[in-house]
Amino acid sequence: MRIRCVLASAAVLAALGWNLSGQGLPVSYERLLKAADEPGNWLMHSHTYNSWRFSSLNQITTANVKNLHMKWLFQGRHIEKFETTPLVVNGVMYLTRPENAIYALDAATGRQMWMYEYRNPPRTFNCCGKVNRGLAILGNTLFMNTLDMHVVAVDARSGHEIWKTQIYDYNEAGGYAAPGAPLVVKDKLIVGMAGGERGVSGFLDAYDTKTGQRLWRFHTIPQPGEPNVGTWAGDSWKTGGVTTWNNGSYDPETNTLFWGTSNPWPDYNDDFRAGDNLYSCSVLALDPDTGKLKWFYQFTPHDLHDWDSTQIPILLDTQFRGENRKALAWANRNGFYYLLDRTTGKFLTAKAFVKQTWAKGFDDNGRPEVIPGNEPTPEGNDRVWPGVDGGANWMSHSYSPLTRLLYVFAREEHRTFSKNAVPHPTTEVTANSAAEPTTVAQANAGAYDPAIGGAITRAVGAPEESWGKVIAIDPGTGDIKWEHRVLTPPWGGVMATAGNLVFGGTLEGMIFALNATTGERLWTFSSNGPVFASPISYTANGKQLVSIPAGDLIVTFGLD
Amino acid sequence: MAALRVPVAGDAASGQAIFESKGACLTCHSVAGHGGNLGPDLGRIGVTRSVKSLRLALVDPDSELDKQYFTVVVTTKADQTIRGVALNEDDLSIQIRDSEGNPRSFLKEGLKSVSREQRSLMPSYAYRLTEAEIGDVVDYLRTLREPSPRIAMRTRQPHRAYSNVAFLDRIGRDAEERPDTLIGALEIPIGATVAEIGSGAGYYTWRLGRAVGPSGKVFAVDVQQAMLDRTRETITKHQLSNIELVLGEESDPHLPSGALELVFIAHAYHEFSNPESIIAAVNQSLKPAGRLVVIEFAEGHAFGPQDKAERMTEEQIRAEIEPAGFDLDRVLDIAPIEHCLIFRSRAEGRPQL
Repeated sequence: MRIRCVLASAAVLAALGWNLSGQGLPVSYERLLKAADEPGNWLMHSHTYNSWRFSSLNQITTANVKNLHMKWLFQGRHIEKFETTPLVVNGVMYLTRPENAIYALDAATGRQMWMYEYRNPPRTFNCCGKVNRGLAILGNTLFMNTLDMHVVAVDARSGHEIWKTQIYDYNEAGGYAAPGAPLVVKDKLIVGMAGGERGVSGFLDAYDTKTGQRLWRFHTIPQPGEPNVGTWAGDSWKTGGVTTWNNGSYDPETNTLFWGTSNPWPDYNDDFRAGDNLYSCSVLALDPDTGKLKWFYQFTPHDLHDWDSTQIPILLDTQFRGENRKALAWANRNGFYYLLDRTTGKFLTAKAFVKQTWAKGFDDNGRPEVIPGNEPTPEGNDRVWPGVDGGANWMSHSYSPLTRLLYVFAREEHRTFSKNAVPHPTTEVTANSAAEPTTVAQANAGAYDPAIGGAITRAVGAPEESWGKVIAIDPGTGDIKWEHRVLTPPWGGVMATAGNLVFGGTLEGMIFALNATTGERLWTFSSNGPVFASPISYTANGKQLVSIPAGDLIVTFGLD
Repeated sequence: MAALRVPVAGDAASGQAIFESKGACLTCHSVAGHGGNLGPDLGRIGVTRSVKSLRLALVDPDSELDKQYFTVVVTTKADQTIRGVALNEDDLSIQIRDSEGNPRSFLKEGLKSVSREQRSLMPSYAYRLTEAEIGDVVDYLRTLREPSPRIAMRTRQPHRAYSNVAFLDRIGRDAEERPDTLIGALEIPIGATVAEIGSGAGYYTWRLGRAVGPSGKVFAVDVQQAMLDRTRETITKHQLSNIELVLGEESDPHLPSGALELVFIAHAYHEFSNPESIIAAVNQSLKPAGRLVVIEFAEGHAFGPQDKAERMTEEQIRAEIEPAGFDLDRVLDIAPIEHCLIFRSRAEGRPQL
């Protein structure tokens, strides 16, 4: 039944006869709104404003994917790995290479057309590599965030810099950074920031795409006099973290921007920050014209496990208990899949998609009923699931309107959570000072950072306690329809296509295509570069291609 | 071919107006982020080209055309012809910027031919602008001296080693540094008095001696007597008698005041323990508007010393020399492994003699 339905839908899509070569520059906002109508192009981070990361191209199918082979490689020639999602406009691929370079490539061959390099100072402060996750485009202009907290506009035809704006002093409070991709909404550029491992104060910004002038700033921690500032004990709000380091989504129908927020700081130590710590670990629904908050939902009140809610919101309409709902689907780092009403923020349902030990359920308002005993401890608490990197992280999920399934590359992981003393957050930040672990557990735990109030922990237990799995979730119920297990918890995202395929890549560099209906693995390629990014699909000369970063390579596949 | 005209004095402001309106130069070129992208960005053209070369480019754009800007003509199997400049090419495909400024790619299997015309897409302005207007535009172009946006401070590592002297006489150095082309490009007048600081094995010293001729003079300065002995061997070999060897000190090159037309420092500046004193002394030794040439291995180039302290970026060199009373006059792009910067002593920056 389902297979017949999928084939019929694919045939309908093919019959519409899109121009497979893709429209060229300039890329108007109207085209961004209808990005789904340009399957030959990839015009924004998640392909469309609803962030489905779904390609309606169907030349590559479950029947012929076995013939897929590598067409070209692009070598980053950089010590850092790619975490970027390239954009493609009319056969030209635009991508960021660490730290903050932009390349324009011929998407058919990978040959370079131009390169722009933004030079950061020698020391910048992104927690997790000198990486960048991609670009936004409007008109003839590309936009990129930088590790030293700038946003730059670059001419997509020449690679010449048009403007450059400082977001914030990257040296403040032990270090801010901007590794995420920005998002264009109307004539504005929405820009997030990172630094939640330090005592920063988070925000989400909008800039004028023409001039680079800042138009609004939403503080993710309420400022004195604003509602909810009381969810922070004392003056802990001043250094509470709550960053916005990934990409967001936009609903033109309700003119709402959705963006996820990170953990409160210090990550593992809550001695100074009693309270829910709003708007940490939340989804924000904002008016993109003004930056005013419409509603929010906090997935993890008073987080103690660094379970950022910086996943990319997925906007879909689905049946929920027999009713059609305009919904927001969210597979969270804390291990639960959530369904919210995206017009009101009302909690509809939540269901664990990986092993979890911290919540026994949710009340009607979606507040979790927390199970005691999951707190980080000085000696190290190894009875907590999911691990610090979560059941999901920043890597993209994908929704197929053909199978009506949400695909998540999930992480089953066993880790230890340890807590140590941190200086009072409003005294001098010691983020960059050397410090020794205070307990044996911390010393054994691996990388140690005094600023986060604990240790960044290695996986514990036997290898079989940690693995990865591509899962297909029924968005209306949270039921898992199928699961495809892989060796290691992943750092790559997935993309579904109208060829009834789901593409992705593992930490060992195995790039794969699964049957979107069954989860059966139909094709693999051993790139041997760890995949820390999400795939895209587009056309060059009318032929469907799939690209995915692996290590410091961009690998591109086609049928012939 | 248009005849070369006698340079006339111009005015940079009216030159800018001509550049932006009558000349329509921004259609293809950009300055400070504005303009087209078919031709090169001109934001630094004032230091990368001489007055003579800028004038020539305006009246006869084909004469000094970099092969990067040859006109590429792509003809498809459907007999469509597209002209542009090449961005990239291999055996399978070619990428060009077409005459509208759009980057485009062609698979060669779909093409009838790819050819290159050794001429520029730029029109000659010999008869489009008057002599005075061309002079004004050149004056304006000479004001375009954008620095690179960021300066990373270097690690100073004062150094004096005779042990690696063999590196100074290495096989292949001529191909790597193109010393004769470089000295020629400095256009040092016959009879000039010049100095070299850090003469080493005399590699550039004898060429400077040859350039100034028997009526000129070269002071060859080094802080190591062993190096001066090597310099002496080299100049003897070349039978030059216009070179005077000077044993300098760490903070004083022992040069005459207000006497020199040019001071030349190649691969030595980064070794100075007290570069501020040396450069102040250099400025004092120069005649008004005298020139200082600094050559350093380029940071980031594969060739050259592995130690970062023995390389400098262009911005690092400028950041140390310009505040000491110098303006950047030219950047010579003769050997990719190194930066060659020519500074001119600034009148107001000169110490009182």
